[in-house]
Amino acid sequence: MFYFFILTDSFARVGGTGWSCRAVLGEGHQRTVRRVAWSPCGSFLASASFDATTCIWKRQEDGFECVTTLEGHENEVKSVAWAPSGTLLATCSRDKSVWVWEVDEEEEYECVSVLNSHTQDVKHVVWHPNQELLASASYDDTVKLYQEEEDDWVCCATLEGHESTVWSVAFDRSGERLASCSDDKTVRIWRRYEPGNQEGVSCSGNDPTWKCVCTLSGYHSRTIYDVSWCHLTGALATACGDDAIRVFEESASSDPHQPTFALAAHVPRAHSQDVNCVAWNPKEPGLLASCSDDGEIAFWKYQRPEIC
Amino acid sequence: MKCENCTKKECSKKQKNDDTQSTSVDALSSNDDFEEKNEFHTLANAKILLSDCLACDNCMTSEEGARVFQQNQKELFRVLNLNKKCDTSKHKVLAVSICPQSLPYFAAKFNLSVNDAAKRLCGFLKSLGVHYVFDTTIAADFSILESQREFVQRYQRRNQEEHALPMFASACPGWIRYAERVLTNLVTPHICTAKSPQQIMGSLVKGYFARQQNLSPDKIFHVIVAPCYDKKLEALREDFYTALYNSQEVDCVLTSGEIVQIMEQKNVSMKDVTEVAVDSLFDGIKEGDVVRHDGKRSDGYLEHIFKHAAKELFGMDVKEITYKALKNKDFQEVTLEKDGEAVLRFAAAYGFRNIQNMVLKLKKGKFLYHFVEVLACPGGCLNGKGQAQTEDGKPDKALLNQMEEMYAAIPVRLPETNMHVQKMYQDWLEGMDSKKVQETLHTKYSTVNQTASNLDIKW
Repeated sequence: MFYFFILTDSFARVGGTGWSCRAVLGEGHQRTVRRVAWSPCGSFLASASFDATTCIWKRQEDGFECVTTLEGHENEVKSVAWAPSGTLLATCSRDKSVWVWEVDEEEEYECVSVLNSHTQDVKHVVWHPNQELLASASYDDTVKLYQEEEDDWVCCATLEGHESTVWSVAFDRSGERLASCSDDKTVRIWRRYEPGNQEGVSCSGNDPTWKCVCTLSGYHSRTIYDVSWCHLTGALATACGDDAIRVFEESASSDPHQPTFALAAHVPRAHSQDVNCVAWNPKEPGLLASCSDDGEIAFWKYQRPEIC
Repeated sequence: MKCENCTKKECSKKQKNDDTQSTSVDALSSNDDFEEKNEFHTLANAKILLSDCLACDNCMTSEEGARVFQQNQKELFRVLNLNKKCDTSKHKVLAVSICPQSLPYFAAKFNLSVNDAAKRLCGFLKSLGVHYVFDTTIAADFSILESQREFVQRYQRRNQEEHALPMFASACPGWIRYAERVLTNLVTPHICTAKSPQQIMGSLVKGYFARQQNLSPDKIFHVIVAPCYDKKLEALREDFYTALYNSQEVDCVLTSGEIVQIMEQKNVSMKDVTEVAVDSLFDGIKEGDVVRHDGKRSDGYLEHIFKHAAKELFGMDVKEITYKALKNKDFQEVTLEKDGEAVLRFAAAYGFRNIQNMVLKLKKGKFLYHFVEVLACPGGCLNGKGQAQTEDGKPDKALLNQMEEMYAAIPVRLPETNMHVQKMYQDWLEGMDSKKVQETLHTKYSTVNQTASNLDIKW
């Protein structure tokens, strides 16, 4: 069954009420700031910049102070992400590498590993919700996964299937599934299969395999720049170069090994230019933030439609 | 309407398949000479695997890349073939110098002792037409002696000169290039000016040996067998070029793996090769059993400089060195204590991530060490990409363990005890403190200013 719903009252744009600018951190970077990330404890903010550095800002009484600048990438840093433990940080860059950093109790940062697995610009890095497993998305059309092995980090899986740049990835709440979005205008859902699994998915050695179990195609008319998977409700939001935001929901009768997702909401002109980023609020179900080339940040209230 | 892949109107994604620069350079076969191609045709799939230090675009120009790629088996055969032709003006004396870290590879790969591997490798190379096969340990002797002296001098100047300490080792070309191109002035004044063993071997063969044999330097074709590809870049260094003779001190670097490829292509098994004694730089004298320097995985700078400094500066005789591994096994510390106080702090930092951390500490002004032995490859030179990789490009741990054992079993000889070296200081180099020593055994580091031309933004 194919569902296509546009329910504008399920998806209302929330005005600028209640949001005010508290601080402008202008002294840290020399070029575009491409991504920011809050630490799990909320006291630190990391900012990744085209000036090849990543600044770590500490929240103070009266604002933020840059406590460290992580250097070493050869050129533009595209993304930064904190691991759930709060002691690890990952950065990725146009220099094709992914770096893993560790921070100790004295707030000293050290480079733990430099991973050169991708063959092109790495666009995004994201951590598994509860394991020290890292995922990266690249211009080389693949998603790679990394974990610690002995005293170093290694690439333990490569997810191939997209036909063009993978711009972003997102884990679901359990971390058993990963969503990736691409310039090929599809979103792919991947599932982890352990060795010896009942579904007969082959694995090499002791490492799990990730298999693409669903491809959402035909919904987006341009590059999909971001995907966000709500850990509260399971809804999947996408940010697209066609200025639209879409939300997909997994069908109730969905087979876990061949899931089906339906388009639950579509806002065609969410912004007046490319939507670059979408993010679900981690505490409030249905609250979504988006940002765009049009210079605006918008907030949305989404409600899952009845028939889904 | 903007391109889907980035924000530019002109999409570089469409030229995606023409990769600009990566760590693996693919073969160009437009100028193939028929004969060389027959001699060596596996080259079609050749890849250059540089260390992580040389991984980005800043560190090697495309012209250098082409010259690095040109140092391959075909080049060796070109010279060997010219020697077979009648035109004597094109004949060259072929000398091959083998790095100490390459021998354990041949030994481990063919299940031979290091001494047997050296002699058989010599026999094999000579059967191809090579005239002289040398061991570069003598060059390493010079390098270590010069580094030791330089450290002591720097230590003594530490309060007068800002950049005297810490001192960084200078033998690894991946590290040197990264330091020159990326780290620049923060690091280059700290790098030991003693030339690497490869560079000194170049001077020994094209300078000392050439003169002994009454040959001009351009009449010798000097090949070095090394554990890694970065050494090919080192061979291009400007100060290893004599304009007078239009001659490079090292003409071609081949990795241990590339030599094995030649054997495989010729269907030669090391077991069948006749043993021939390895030559020395001194007329009529052959090399004895293989010896090495102290240390487990590198040329031994840390160990030798530590022991020398302990003696010279603190009057202490260190017999055994105790290593303390820090964050990971490629970052180790060695400390000298006198009267309960740490007076010397040395470290070994191998691999890109450890180099990064070292640089971070240097920038913060929290640098504790007096000397750091820096290498681009984790696991040290034995783990060089020219010999320690499996078919699918992964590090071969079993082989590495075997090589480490074999290397450890080789007896250690102190550079100070090499009588030939002492004699050369007197005769050829006109004394240990002479100007000639500075010119022949020391080098300079350049800092080329990179212009950041990132006008095209790729999101």
